[in-house]
Amino acid sequence: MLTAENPLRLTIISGKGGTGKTTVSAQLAYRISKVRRIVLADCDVDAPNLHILLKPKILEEKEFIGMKKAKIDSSKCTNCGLCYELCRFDAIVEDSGYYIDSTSCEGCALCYHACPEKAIEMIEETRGKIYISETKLGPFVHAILFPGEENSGKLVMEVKELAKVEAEKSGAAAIVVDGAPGIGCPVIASLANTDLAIVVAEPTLSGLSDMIRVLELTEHFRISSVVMINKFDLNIDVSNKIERLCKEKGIEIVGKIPFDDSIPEQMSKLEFPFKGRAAEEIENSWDTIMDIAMNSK
Amino acid sequence: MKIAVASGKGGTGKTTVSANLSAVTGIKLYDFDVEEPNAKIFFKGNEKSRDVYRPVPEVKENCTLCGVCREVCQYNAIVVLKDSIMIFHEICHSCGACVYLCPEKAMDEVKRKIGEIIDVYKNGKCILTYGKMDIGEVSPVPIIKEMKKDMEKNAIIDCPPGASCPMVESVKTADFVVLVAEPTPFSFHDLKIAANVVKELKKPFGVVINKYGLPYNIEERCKKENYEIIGKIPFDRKFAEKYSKGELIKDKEMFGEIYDRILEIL
Amino acid sequence: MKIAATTVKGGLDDTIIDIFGRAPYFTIVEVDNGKILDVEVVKNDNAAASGGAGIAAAQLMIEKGVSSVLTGRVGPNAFNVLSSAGINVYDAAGLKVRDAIEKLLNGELETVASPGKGGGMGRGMGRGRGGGRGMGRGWM
Repeated sequence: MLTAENPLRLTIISGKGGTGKTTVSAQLAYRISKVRRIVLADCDVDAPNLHILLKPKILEEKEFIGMKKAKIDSSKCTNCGLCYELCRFDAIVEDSGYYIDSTSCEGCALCYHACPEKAIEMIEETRGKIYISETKLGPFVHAILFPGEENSGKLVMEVKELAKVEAEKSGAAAIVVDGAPGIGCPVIASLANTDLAIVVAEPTLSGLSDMIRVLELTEHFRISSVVMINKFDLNIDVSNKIERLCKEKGIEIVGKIPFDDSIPEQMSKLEFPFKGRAAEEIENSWDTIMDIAMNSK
Repeated sequence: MKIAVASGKGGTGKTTVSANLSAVTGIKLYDFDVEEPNAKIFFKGNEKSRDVYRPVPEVKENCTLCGVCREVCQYNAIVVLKDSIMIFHEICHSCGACVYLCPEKAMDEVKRKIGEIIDVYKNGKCILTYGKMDIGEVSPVPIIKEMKKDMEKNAIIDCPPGASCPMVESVKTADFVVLVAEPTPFSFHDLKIAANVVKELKKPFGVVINKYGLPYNIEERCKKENYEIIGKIPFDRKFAEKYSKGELIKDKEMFGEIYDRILEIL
Repeated sequence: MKIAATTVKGGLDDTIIDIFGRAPYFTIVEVDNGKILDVEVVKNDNAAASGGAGIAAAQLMIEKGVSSVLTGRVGPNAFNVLSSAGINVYDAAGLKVRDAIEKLLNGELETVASPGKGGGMGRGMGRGRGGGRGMGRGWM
């Protein structure tokens, strides 16, 4: 049973961008929402896209306070240059005096602790926004990191926490998370406390290489994963390779989505839920996904 | 001159553009997308690899368990137990605060491998340098920084996707930024985010539209935002198939024109 | 002895949740001779940290002198710290704090013997990675 107390947490990831992660997240969420209450979360906070498709009505807006970063009080600073010498992130810039390049500062506070004049403060700043919204499919938590900011992992964590709260409030049985690309901090944060990772792979050599790396990542964190091949008929050779590889690893292929010209067309008109062959295949994958997810829960 | 090829959204054709630009102009390619390096698929050759490390702390015998290291660590990477210190290297940011601030000078730094930098040679010439981050590492930035240390004067850079720290770190070093987008509402949305970052860094940039011909009118929208379109790659299943097999488009005219336009702008 | 439970708001009547490092509040109960002497509710300042939340929470347990933790899943890093500090972890998610303590005192709770899957950022690599998937709660 999917219960509100303990909702199923699905995270859609891809390693490589542009493989159809958002398309799959949205269509799958639509499929589940036909039978269960769901909450959606967009954890691709660098380049969030799900909201474009879902056209949410924003109910609440929160500020995202990032990690504290250093700031030099020039009235106290004696230009001794110790901070400049110590900083390993090239975040202290010398330009007739010293100041902090906040995009490079990682908030380690070494300069703050070391400054003999106590001229450095660690300050919190708004580094993004989090939105709690309403969509036709259910509550939706999304966010945007201000351009050039770091620490998207922390923002991803907050989005997920809020999604959990929304799930409790609305009695949702599943949380569908559109994860971040890559294999670093944001995607690791996206995957924390996930019951099942759905890896969307594209049958290109790049797609294959990225899928292998992202599966190594889920294996590393011991998160159960399944694979969905998008545009599987684009290159049957590589698709077969993906299937063989998954078989060796004991990872199930839950869907083989055909190349469907109508998807970019529907997307450009923002016609959602999607229709057609590709959309159907995504929806059909739900039964298998649910079985596996329940077993790994 | 260094040209960085970036895009907010992944999968829009960043690697297609950077790899083809490099192939057509003969300028060396650097793949800074160290989380998912892909350019290597298009440039086969002899590989020479070196490991990349970052420093992480270790406790020496003269530690008095005073706990200063834990207090100063902003990343929760240090725990003080009754009789020992536990350090979690994988979440350590290598800032050096614990080592510097330890009142007993009881901490040393050791090297932790975080990835590799690989040079690809063809006919004795290095045509590509790419980085590869180890699985489980959190930040690609130290590897990108290492790669930036010895770059050739002329370079084409395949940047990490997104618009946060790894992308900024990559774009910072460039003289010109090519932003690759496709005609979809998603891609245009992310293009705007990336363009804002590039503007903030005060870098000149131009847009290349991949899959040109899809119904979404991105041209009009770019015009409205005052983005100059410096190239178009038509939507063609043939290109998608080529890419899937790891083949370059290598259209001298198409990519040569993009390059010429960049030179003109600069 | 001191027993800590992972809770949403805190208190003896709150329900124990199955997350450790990112639990909003810890309810720390002092028990002696089967009697509850004191209840302290501690806010988890690291609940939304980008990394190391479990580690920081484990450190807090050490500082508070806790000897047993009542929760569900514990990430690998936090598990490492707790077991190194000799703190026992018990599976009590879904129970009321009061009931769980009674069960613990009666020896009716099972210890969690290995870290749960899907922890947060940065797993304790190369440090006792063995041990299959210690599951938190059963799920019907």
